[in-house]
Amino acid sequence: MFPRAWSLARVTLVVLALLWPNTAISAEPPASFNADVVPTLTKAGCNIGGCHGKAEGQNGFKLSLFGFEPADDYEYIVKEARGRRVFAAAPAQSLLLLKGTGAVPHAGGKRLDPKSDAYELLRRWVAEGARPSPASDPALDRIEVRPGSTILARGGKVQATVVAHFRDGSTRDVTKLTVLEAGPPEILAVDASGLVVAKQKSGSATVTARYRDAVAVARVTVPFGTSVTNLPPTKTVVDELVFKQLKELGLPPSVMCDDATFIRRATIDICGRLPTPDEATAFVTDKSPDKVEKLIDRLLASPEYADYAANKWSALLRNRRNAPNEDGKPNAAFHAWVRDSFKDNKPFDQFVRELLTSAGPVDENPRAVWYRELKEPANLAEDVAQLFLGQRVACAKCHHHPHDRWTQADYWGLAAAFARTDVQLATPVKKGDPKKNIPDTPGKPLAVALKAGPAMMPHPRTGAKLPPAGLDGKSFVLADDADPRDALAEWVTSLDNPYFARTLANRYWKHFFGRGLVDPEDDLRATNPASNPELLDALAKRVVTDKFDVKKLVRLICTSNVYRLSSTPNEYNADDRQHFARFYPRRLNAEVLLDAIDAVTLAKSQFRGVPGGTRAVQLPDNQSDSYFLSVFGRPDGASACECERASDANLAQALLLMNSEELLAKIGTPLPEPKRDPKAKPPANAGPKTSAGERLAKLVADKRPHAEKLRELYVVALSREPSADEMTTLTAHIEKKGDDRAAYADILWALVNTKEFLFNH
Amino acid sequence: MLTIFDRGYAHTCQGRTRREFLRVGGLALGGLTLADLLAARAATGDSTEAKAVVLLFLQGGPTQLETWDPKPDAPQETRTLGDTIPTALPGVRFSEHFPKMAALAKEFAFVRSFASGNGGHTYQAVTTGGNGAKASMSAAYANLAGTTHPRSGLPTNVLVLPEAVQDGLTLQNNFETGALPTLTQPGSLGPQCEAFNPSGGSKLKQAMSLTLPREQFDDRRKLLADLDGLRRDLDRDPAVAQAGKYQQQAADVITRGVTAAFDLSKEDPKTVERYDTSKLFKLEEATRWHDMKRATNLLGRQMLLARRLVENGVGFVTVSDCGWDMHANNNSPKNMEGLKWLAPQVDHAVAAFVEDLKQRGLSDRVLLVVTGEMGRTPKLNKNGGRDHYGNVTPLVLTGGGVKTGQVIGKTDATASVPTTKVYKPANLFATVMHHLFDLGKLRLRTDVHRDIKAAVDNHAVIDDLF
Repeated sequence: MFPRAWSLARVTLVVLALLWPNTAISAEPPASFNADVVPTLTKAGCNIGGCHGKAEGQNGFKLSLFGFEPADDYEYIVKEARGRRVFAAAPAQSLLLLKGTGAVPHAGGKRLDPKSDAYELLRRWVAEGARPSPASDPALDRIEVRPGSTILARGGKVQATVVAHFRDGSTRDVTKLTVLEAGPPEILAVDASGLVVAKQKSGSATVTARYRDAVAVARVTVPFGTSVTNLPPTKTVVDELVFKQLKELGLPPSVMCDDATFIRRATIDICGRLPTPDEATAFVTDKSPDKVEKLIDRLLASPEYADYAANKWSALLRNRRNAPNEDGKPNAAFHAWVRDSFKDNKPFDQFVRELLTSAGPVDENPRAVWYRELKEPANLAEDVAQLFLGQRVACAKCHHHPHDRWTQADYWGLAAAFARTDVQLATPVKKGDPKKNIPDTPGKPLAVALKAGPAMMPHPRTGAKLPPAGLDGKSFVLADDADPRDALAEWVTSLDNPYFARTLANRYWKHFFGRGLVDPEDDLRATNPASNPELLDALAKRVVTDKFDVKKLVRLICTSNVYRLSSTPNEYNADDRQHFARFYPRRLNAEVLLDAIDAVTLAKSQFRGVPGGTRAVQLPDNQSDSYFLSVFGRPDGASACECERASDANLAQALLLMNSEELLAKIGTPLPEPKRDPKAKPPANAGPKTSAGERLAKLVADKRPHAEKLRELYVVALSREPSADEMTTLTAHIEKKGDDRAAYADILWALVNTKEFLFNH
Repeated sequence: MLTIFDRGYAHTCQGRTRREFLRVGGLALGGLTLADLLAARAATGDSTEAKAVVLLFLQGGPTQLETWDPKPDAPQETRTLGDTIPTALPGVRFSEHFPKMAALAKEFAFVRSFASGNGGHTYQAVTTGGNGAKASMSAAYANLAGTTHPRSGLPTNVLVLPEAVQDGLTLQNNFETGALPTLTQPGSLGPQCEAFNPSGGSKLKQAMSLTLPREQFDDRRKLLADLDGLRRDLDRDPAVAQAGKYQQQAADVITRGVTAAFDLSKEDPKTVERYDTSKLFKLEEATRWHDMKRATNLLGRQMLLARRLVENGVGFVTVSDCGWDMHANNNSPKNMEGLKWLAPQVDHAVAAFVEDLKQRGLSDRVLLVVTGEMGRTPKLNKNGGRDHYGNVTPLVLTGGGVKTGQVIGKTDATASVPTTKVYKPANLFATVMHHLFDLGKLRLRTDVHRDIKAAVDNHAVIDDLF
């Protein structure tokens, strides 16, 4: 039994401790709820979307997602549940700590070690009275990871430090409070204390850090360590900066590809078609030193460049119909506008301004199709951000973007630029009744108009009315009756917008190399850095000095020697997928492949609803019914992401190429009569009619020697002549068959199934 | 030639290298008999003979309260919508939508303490069980058992969408369209392990059956192999090599004449009639709701195709049934009225499937698993709908030697949380693998992806099932 006085003194001590939390308990500054406690919970994973961070919380305990709303978190932790989550008199008995350490059953398991600094920090905060952060706490400006850029040998280690910079000029080491991630995982790892370890694979890697609402990235290079002595000559800034990186990495590039491979590569990538035999032969025999430049210029000037650009952008701009029986005229007009814009090499900033500010009925303003598909301000804002600024802001619709800086206010401010946009859908003709002398009421076409009233969007949490603003947070200065889209278009395309030129440059880099400098190509957040930041900077700068001239950008990329590297790996770069030490082969896109098969077989695919002779690459929208195109991954125009185009192989593709009636007919193989009920309707997905290819008949009728005919055929399909071994194989096959028709049918079949044909390599 | 490389391909799921293929092909063209092949297969210790799984996935997140764990006595804000009915199991009740399964309740094991732990439309959270390879169970099966069946040439892993049972069917898109690939995602096991999707109506089926005389087809393949062989340098890129693997698999499918396995017109019309669900409701009524755009009344035919496929040697069939995301906002009818379409269809199709398996003596071979990516919130929202909820998820199993006629686990009074041991997708993954493979032998195999090995080593099979 304690003496009464002692007991009283103990109580007094506790009371004193609660009243003067800053003095008696610890010499350290008191733990800050915003700066210490919430980041600690974030680092322990308590507030992720799968646990307490989801909208409804977890088992009655909710936290804001990733701790982006500390004021709410304070309420949830300290005030809800009748205060039983924190217990200042006996901090270790706080439910927050009991659950976190798994001392009482916790579905999320043990998130905190009672011996850890994190536990001690939470305990101390509770002991100090579980106070909210005082308003005088300095605001966080940014964080930085040190070292910002470093080179590590395989297996090497370095300690990373995360430094927080506050608006009052103070700094603090927050490494222990920061969520750290490293990748790619086969190259780099980081532990919770910031120790960075290079693993067994070489390459470029990053450490990303997230503390409160700030993110930062450090770059780590793990060199391959081979001496690079075989660099091709440097022609452009592209070569300079790619080769510089390869040298730093010790990653030798592949050799340059041959001329036949190059003209096929460039013609497919720029024009979406195979080179003609004449083009291929002329290029290969051309001895002039600037033949690559001449080739690229010629391709860029050809109408097929515009066809292929329209094919790309039409899908991204959602030029789609939901059903084949929907009126296709607006889509055709929109497609034509896109095509003409690229044909005329309309500066890309102007292209975007025209898109963003378009108004009027669809017959005058075909860009209304884009508005029809998006309709709502939020959707429009998301597509603008993703397409033209490389920002995937959709997360910020409902909460602070977890991997980027965007807030809900940023999101809805951007959306407010479309708050007055009135997308009026088409209405059908209303039939009258001639007997009662009621005339037809004419329908109205799709149109984009301007609603009255100030452009504002409510903040979904606070209800505050947000005026239109760029993602930089600066509200547009608007006259009363101004259409805020004008200001948006100006901001998006302005020379100081840090995202616009970079996004364009990166998107086109991906077009030609199959992988963005930043990948995915429309996700340019700080935590997803470029594999070669210097190069992306340089390209973006050139885009600006060239006044958003897309053809100049293509020319800059395609005349580089980097674009001319062979796809055949050397003994060092087979695994390389990020430094462009070789060309990465890509399967031909669906439309390009179908056209290429038609070019080889001299068959014609006839699509419904478009003029005869329209090639697949020229189709205006997604509704030209073709099973072939859908199996090979033609996009549906249902998102602003290029990823909608599937470029990987699958079993159905192989089946179609080897054995479909469509392909066999193109080759000219006689097919057994289909066993179809003559009364039955043709199946709904009959797809395009395809004529028998004429190539086979021509080859059979051609009286020249086989070798000559085979050389010609190879140039058509592969832009090169067959090798001696190939010639032997082919002529042996013809001899064995003893029937030219059958033999050439076999050869055509085999040729369009070779990997060399199916890939741009 | 075809047989031996098929086997190699089937065994590792990585395919033979081009070099090996040519070597073996050159030596053994026509020289290998089926018996040799089977002997080779047996010698490799393959333990997959005849076991199969049909996974019926109710996409969108099926409600636990209006299916097999009703709470008629819960407070009104939670209470099961509609009536409940008794079942063949004493004391066990179901929602009124499941009379046929209620009558057959002794044929099933109902797991009420299953929690996907997942509150979004991330099908892969359930189908992968969170394994490190991010591979769905169907892909893991294809990886371990081979992607093509050594005798029939059928792909061993098939996804049955409504489009696979009705030619020319075009469903509209919604969020489920985009999420669909995650249902059978192969993760790091490689795309060749992804489920084969036979939709595409007559066109794909046509392409699956050999159109040319066999000799001519073989001639062409030989020529192609020779030409590709002269450009072997291209195969050093992984994407190019992958395309070659599909060509091998395609040739296999084509030469084995597997189309009939996908053709429901070869079934007895009476059987088709027994499975048929197309008269249960009018499709347009359901599909005018955005969240039900991929719902159909074709589940009966899908289940029939699943049975036909497992009968022909397919080892893993994933059946997709969409439209269960019943928030009852403007994207689906108020008060979860969409259940009156989808629930009786599941009841009918599953009952028909179970009876059919029994009649054909397939019950022990074939494990049927019915689940979805999550359950739904116990508390009704203001529209009388239920929202995403990962703490309780419906799970029903039958066949495959599981002990039926039992309810495993319990939830609290509001179906909010299991009050008994909670089972997670990782346990389901282990359970399915336990049925398909002898896990003891699997551990001895050296070609098993370490994450798949870890997934079955570190997680227990659901208690009391076997």
